[in-house]
Amino acid sequence: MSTISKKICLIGDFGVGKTSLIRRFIDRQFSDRYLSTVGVKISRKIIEQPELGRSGKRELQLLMWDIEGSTKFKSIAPSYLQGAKGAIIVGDVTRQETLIAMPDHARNFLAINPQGSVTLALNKSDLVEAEKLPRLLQLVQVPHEARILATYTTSAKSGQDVDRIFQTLADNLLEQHELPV
Amino acid sequence: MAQLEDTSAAPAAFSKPVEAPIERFLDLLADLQIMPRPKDLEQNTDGEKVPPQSPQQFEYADRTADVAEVSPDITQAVEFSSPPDASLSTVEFSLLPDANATVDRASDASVIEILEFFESLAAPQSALPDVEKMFVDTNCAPIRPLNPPILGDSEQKRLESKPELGGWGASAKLHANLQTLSEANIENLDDRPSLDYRLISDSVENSGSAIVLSATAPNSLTPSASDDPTVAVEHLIELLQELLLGSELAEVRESTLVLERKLEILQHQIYEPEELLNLLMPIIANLLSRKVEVSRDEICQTLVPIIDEVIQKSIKRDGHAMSMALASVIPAAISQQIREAPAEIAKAIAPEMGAAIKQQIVLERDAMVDALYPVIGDTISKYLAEAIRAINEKVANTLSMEGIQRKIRAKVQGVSEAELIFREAMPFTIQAIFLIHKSSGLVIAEVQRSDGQQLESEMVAGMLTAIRSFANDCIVQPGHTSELAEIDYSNSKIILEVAGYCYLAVVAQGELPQRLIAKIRQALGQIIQRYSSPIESFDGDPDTIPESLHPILRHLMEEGQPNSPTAAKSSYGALVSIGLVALGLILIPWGIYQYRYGADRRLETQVAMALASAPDLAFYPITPKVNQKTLKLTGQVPNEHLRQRAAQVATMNTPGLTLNNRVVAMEMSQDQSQAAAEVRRIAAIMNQMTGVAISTRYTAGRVTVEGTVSRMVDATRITQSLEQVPGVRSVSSTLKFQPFRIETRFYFNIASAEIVPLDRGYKIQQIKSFLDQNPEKSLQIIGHSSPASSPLETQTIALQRARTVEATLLKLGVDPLRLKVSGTTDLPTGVEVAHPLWLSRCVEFVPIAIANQSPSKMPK
Repeated sequence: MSTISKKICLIGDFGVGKTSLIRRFIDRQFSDRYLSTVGVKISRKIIEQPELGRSGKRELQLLMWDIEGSTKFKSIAPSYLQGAKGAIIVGDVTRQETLIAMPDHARNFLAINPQGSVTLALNKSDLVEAEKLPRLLQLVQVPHEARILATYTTSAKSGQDVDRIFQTLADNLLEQHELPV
Repeated sequence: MAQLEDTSAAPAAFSKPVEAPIERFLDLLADLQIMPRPKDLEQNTDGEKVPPQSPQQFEYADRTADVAEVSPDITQAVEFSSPPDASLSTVEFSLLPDANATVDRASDASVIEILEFFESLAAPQSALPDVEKMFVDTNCAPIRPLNPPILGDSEQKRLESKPELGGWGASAKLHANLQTLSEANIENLDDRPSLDYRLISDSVENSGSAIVLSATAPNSLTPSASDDPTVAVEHLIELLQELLLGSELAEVRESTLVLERKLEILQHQIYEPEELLNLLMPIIANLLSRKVEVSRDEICQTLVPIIDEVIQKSIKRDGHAMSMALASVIPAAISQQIREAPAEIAKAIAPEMGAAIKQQIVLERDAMVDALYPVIGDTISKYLAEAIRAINEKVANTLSMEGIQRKIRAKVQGVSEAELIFREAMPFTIQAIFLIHKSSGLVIAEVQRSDGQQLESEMVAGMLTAIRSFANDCIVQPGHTSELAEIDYSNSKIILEVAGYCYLAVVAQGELPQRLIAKIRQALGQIIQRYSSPIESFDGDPDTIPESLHPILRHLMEEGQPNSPTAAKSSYGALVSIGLVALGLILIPWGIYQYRYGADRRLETQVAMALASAPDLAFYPITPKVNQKTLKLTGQVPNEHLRQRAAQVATMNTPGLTLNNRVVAMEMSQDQSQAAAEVRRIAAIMNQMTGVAISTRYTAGRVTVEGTVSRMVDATRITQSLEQVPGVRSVSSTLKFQPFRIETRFYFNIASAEIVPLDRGYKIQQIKSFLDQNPEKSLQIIGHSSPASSPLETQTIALQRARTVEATLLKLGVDPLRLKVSGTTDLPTGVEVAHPLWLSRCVEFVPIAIANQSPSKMPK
């Protein structure tokens, strides 16, 4: 059994909850305090994937690059995205402009990593009524993009779909890895 | 004409039902001619639709289907089948073009008329009465009465039994044509009736059966002739045709048809480009290759002028296809050219080389870096190493004890001095080495110290990658490329050595020596050279990296441990140590010897100096030799006294040494001259002494000395010295004692004790100098006054004068104990009564020895 390492990125506008999602995923914790990420913060988590792949059970080490949120004045440095196999594009359901920016983030990422996989996270879903969500989901649709695996409404606070979004990406990365080159 | 006779001579032919063969023959004749072909045949036999030349023609062909040929065609046929010399055919021929021309030139009305007529012919039987009527209208009625006498019975019957349409058609057509002819062209024909008559009358003469023909022919041509005879002639011709064209020609006609069809097809194939293409297609390649086989050069020469154009056009038309076609041969072509004319290729490529490299760097910098890394890294480091060595040499040349020591150690350990300084300052250890994928920041391979704290490699690698990215994005100016080389933090540092797709991070404590950095670069170069492709495609799976990469890192790690003397280095060190010990064994005794030798030489010099400065020994060659604790004196002196004296002088200067006096005291020769020279030499030496001024005279063992000395001791010494000269038996001395005198005197005005201003500077200074130079002397300052010049000149004023001078000297810092003053009215030394009086008003100085000073001696 060997450990395969993969780099994934969390991309999104500032303050959408990228760091919180990672914190929830790794530490099972959440804090209301807003801490702006400067540059990039790297975390890792090993995910065990039972009975997947040719060589049986394998470990997947996710290296999560929590990249500082983009603003109107500062876009994401492309070099941070290089070499990533997957990305979670995060938006904030309470701020519509962050959702509108998500397709652009996805396209940017896929331009640098054409073989990469992307999941979309509509974060802070605990802050809006459930009935509003389908309409918001419409905003982030990227048509004709096969590399976008799924879209989830997540909440780092409640933990809703946080594990699932990482797991979906991880499963896909392993699948991709097992594909004969 | 002959033919005509032959056929006419066989009347049996007339009885044969020959209608069909005749038609076919006519068709054939027509076909064989290049003249306008009867279209009806094509239509009827082939069913092929050939486009008509004109609507009229088309109509014409259509309407004359299955109808006996029209007169022009018949006449043509006759003309064609008959020999060229036949006059009749000539006539007919001359007519024919006119007839044709007539038809062509005929008014539209007449053509339409004819067409209408044929239309009615083609109409069903019911239309017959109209036709009949038409014949009547056009005066065709006389045809019938005319026919019987001309045609045979059988022919008559045949004509009658012929289908109405055919018979009518033939007659009608003939009629129509002839009518047109007569109507339109009477004027034209008028020109040559005489010829026609003549020719035809010729034919009449020649053939009996043709009489009718001959007779009718002129009639038909004359404008006054009626239509009836013309038709009859035509019929006759037809008959003749039938006679000529026997049934045996049926098969000829068949084959002709086949030929015709083939010709048709051929023509079609030749004139239709598409068909022609199809025709030529299969053989064109064959043709070309055959041609090439036969005459290669010709083909070449044909193609040469246009081949470049062809290629250019082809490229213009479809560049991509052309590239595809040429692609496979281009590499081979280039290599061939490089082999044959490398300089040309270089010349061609060179101007774009720089641009190409730049472009490649723009396109894929990493690949370029990887390609050049192993070479450039080495080259640069070699160059730098040389430069640094040169600098190092200069710095290290500054001599100091510590510097020399360090130098020695640097030599022993085989490292540079600067490196040694660094190493002394901070010892280093490599803690970890990571080989990191450049873009993703994943760890490709790692090695860490087993005893220290383990680093989280993935996190370190990720952060380093992020920092590198940050530096490259935010700090490095756009357009420039530079790399983060190291990260320093307190005593530790991370050295980053970057290649194309990966970089090596070395975490180390202390100052890494240059040697190790070179090793790191070397290791990375090695890794890139061997494992470039698995590194480039690394996707986080450590299994894809060959196992053989790890030993390179481990080896580097071992190099980086503080106490890792390699075998080679230690043996080198040992060798140096042994060498040094051997050198020491040689150098130390030699050094001691050198030191002693130096000391001995110093003593020798000291003794020699002492001997030389002893006046009585100075003339004799005495050599001192010091060996360790013994002083050996060798040389010759004239007597035992001097021998003792030499020993005494030597011992005084070298207290601790044992004296080995080998000086020989030998009696010099009794030679007078030698003795005299010796005496002179002593005198010369003595004269060097202060206050000594002597001269000697040697006569037969007697020496007479004259002169003065300033000290009595000197007089004694001179006498003794001279007595010791061999050959001198007695010395008589008349030496005078002459103490030091100072000629300087201060003169005063009458009754004044003031020093004249002029004397205050130089004269006073002279006195001061004397005192300084002769510290053993004191000065008696004696003031004088001259009572003879004035009653005021008393002893008191004399004393005052002495005191004034004393006071002035005291001011200059002269010890007061060295100055004595007195005053007198006596004349000064050397001044007589007769001398001017002012000489007596003075102060004079008398030097006196301090030891001998006795104030009582001073005169008052």
